[in-house]
Amino acid sequence: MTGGKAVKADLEFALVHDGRQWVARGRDAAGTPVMARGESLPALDDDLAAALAVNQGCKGQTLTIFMGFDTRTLPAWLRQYSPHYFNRFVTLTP
Amino acid sequence: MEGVNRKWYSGMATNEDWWAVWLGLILFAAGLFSIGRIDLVGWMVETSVWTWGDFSFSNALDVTRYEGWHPLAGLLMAYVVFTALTCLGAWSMKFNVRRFWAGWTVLFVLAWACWIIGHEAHFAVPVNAWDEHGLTWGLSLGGGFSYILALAVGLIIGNFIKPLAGFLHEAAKPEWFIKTAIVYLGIKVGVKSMDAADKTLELALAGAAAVFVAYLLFWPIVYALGRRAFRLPRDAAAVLSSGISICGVSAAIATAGAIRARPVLPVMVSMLIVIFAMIELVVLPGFYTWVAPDQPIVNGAAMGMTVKTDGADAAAGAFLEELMRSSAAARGTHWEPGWIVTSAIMTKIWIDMFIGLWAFLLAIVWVRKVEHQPGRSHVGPSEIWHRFPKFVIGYLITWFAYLAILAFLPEFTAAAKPGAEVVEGPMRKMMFMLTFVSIGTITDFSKLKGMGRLALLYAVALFVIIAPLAYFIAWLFHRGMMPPTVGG
Repeated sequence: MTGGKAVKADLEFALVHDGRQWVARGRDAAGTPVMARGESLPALDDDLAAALAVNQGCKGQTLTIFMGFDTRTLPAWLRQYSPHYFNRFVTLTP
Repeated sequence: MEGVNRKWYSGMATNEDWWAVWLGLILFAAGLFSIGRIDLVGWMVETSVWTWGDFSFSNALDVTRYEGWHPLAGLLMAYVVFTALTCLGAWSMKFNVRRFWAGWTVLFVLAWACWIIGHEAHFAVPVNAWDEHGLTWGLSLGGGFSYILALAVGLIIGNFIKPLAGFLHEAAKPEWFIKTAIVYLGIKVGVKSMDAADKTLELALAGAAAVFVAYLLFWPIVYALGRRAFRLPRDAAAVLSSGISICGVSAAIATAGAIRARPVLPVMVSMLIVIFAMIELVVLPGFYTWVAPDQPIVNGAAMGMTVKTDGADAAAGAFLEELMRSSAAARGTHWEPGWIVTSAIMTKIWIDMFIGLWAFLLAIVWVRKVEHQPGRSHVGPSEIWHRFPKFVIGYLITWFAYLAILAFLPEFTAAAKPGAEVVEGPMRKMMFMLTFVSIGTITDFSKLKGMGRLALLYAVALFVIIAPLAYFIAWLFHRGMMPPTVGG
């Protein structure tokens, strides 16, 4: 859905931008650390799907992924104006 | 996930927006004790007019309610109470508390020094009261000179004494200070509702209508200008349009988040906004007073729609109020204080409240029409809540609490006022003074270098489109509205 009822996530990732790429860090269903990168968000999603496919428990499942932007990566002086950047949900089939 | 706003209560202890609510509500609650004849805030001091050659703290400061207290004891109490509360907030927000405390102490001293100096009679007293103070000349700026001085001191530090600006950086939080002041202002609006409920309601509704119209006009015009005349990429045009036309930095960040722009984009745009907000803050109050001295509410509302960032807008509104009341006093009209700054902040608060909704709609449009990823990427409705400015909750609580006393407990109205007046009066003004000093220290004009095209678009859009259009819309919805006169 795009903006309707609340979304529950199967996995949760923290999202940052390192100046060049988006980087998502979290754990898969088995608790194994997973990191994915991409110059655009669609590229990040593809990389994350590939990283999750490594785990046989995730492969082939349709997963709802929560990605929350880690606001600590914004400059401290900027955060006083707005403490939120964005969160997103992505549906992936690794 | 630390640093991520996952739950509805995320950030309640860790960001300035929520801490403005806590700082506001703590003193609001303390003020309410006056209903039970317990005065928890009467130690607060306020400035009074003094004359050159006759300075003493007893002349320049008054303790609001504690009889027999020396003003310096009241000032010390103000320092202790506000230092304890802000340091608690700083600790909770994981600032470096020692650096915060040191910077806060310097800002506190500078703010009070500017506040006291600005109330010297030659600066403050209106022309028709010169004889009363034995003056032969003066600037007749009311409390406006205190604000000018605080801003000038801040700007000198921010641009010429950069090591000191760096030292103050941890504590210079104009948005936190002004949002706290706005929560206190809610008390003022509540007290005003006790005296003039119809005028307060009229001001609130006119502000909402004006903002709605402004939203529909400003954003598309600036976006089209950015895309067609300045050939900006779509994301840069969108972020800049929100920054210029809606509410400055918070709107730029909300929009950038909504369209998933790289974070460097809102950071750059925000630097631009902070600097231009300073220019607006310096130029517009005097300009509006000069061109429309008989339109206090229209001027205030126009300020709210034109000056970006809550801090600069509230500061500009306060400055405008001092200039306009002083100018009116010189013509023999004495408007009640608070109405002009309230009109400036009322429009800004409506703008702030719409930001979350606007960004949510924009995010949906972006996912569907720009990223072409409907079905794969989703926007959660919780985004509206995460982007909602929480200090508005504090503002509404304090406003409606006093309104509720008026409606349901009218016998307590008289007892509620003394506590309210201390919090919404000198405590609020102190937070304004801290905002003026700290907003100056974080404004570094050298950051404009290298922003040629964006800066030019900003200047053109602001002064050629937004400012005149905002003034027209403010006039359309607020014309004929005037503050009550003192004793009128």
